[in-house]
Amino acid sequence: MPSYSATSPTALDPSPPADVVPSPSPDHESPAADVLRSNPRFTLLCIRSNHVLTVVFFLGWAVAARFFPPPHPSWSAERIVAEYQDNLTGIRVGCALMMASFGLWAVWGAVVAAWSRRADRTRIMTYAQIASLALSEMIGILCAFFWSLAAYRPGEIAPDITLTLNDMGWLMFLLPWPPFAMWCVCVAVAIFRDTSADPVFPRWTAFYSLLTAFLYLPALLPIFFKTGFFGYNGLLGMFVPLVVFFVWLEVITHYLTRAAKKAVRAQAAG
Amino acid sequence: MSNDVLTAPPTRRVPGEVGIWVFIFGDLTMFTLFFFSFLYERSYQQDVFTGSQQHLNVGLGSFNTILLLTGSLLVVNAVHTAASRPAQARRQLLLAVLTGAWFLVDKVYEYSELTRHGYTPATNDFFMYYYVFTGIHAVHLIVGMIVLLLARRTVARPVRSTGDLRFVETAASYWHLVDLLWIVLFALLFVLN
Repeated sequence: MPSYSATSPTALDPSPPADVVPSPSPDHESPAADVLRSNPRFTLLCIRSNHVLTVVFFLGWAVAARFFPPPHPSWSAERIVAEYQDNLTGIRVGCALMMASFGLWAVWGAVVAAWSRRADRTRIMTYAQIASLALSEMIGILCAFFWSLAAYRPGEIAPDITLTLNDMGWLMFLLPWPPFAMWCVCVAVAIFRDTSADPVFPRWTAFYSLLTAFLYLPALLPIFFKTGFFGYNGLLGMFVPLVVFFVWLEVITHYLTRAAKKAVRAQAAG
Repeated sequence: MSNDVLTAPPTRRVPGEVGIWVFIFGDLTMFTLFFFSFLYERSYQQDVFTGSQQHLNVGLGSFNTILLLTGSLLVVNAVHTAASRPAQARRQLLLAVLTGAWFLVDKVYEYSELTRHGYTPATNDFFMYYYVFTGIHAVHLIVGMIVLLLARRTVARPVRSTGDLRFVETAASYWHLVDLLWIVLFALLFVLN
């Protein structure tokens, strides 16, 4: 680690250098090794499920339901009904896929929580993570559920009801961003608190998790705006929070995979 | 450890730690998206935007800019004195936090004045961007104030480690980000016409 040079006299501070002690160096093996060592192949499978689930989610959301590009918040109820009627089966199948993917993410989230249980010795972050993860999954399932409901009888009921159910789906997708942010913050804190010699996550991933939590913030705006970039179909109100979520999942998965593979190799070696 | 800058081997070091620069880069990217969407919208509604801009208090905006720049100067000083003169560093960090607090008070006044005259986020697209961008910036500023107070606590430790000093630099880098964002916001919202 490069030496800290601020103890030399500088133009702004001509005082003689003060005593600065080096930071305590980590001296114990990563506690995450225990988590991954017990059954590394199974753990690796759980970690890799993230890739499958991301693909399943987008197959459902974008390909089957054709929710990209999203409907416009300012469309009339009749227009929304027509959109649902045009792609009835696609939306129903897509929502089923989305609900399945969100439900199965628990296994992946559990690996992160199990790791942080060893990394964060007070366990508070682990429990908060489990709660946030469960809430996040439920939120994902609920928005797909509301979209399914909108696709249940469009045209048979008053168009305003279909409009409302569609709104419920899209706003549920975005407004309840805090559990997702809390999930990122808990993982970040656990990473910061990991003082082992060979941590699973480099420190910058903690900052990246905090950044992700910050970038969810614009998702609170769609309730205020029905046009423009901050609506539920907007670049800033919807697209950015959506993309940063899946990128964060991949970043965390990358380092978990690396550590799990190392454990698999160690187990194979004896 | 060599104090001779000319003969010491070059060390690769970023201010604070790498992670904060990942954060800063990501946040700047986000704000760049914000700025481009503002400019895009503005190109379609130039009259609305320049007309609405007249209602902003440029004097107060300028004063706020000076406040945050002063805060940044104090923070720079605090980083340099954190090791050798911690009491002074703590004082400077507190003063920087107070510039942030004053900024927020000014913002509250600005918002209340505008809403009193009927200019809300729903009035038109210019005011939508004005309130949303300055609001998100205010959240960043509040986090910045908390981070500086944490840095102040770190400096108060009887013996400061290299990790502690690195944290102070990290906190300072974040504060400079907040300042930079405001300077661009000020130029876009208050000055550009």
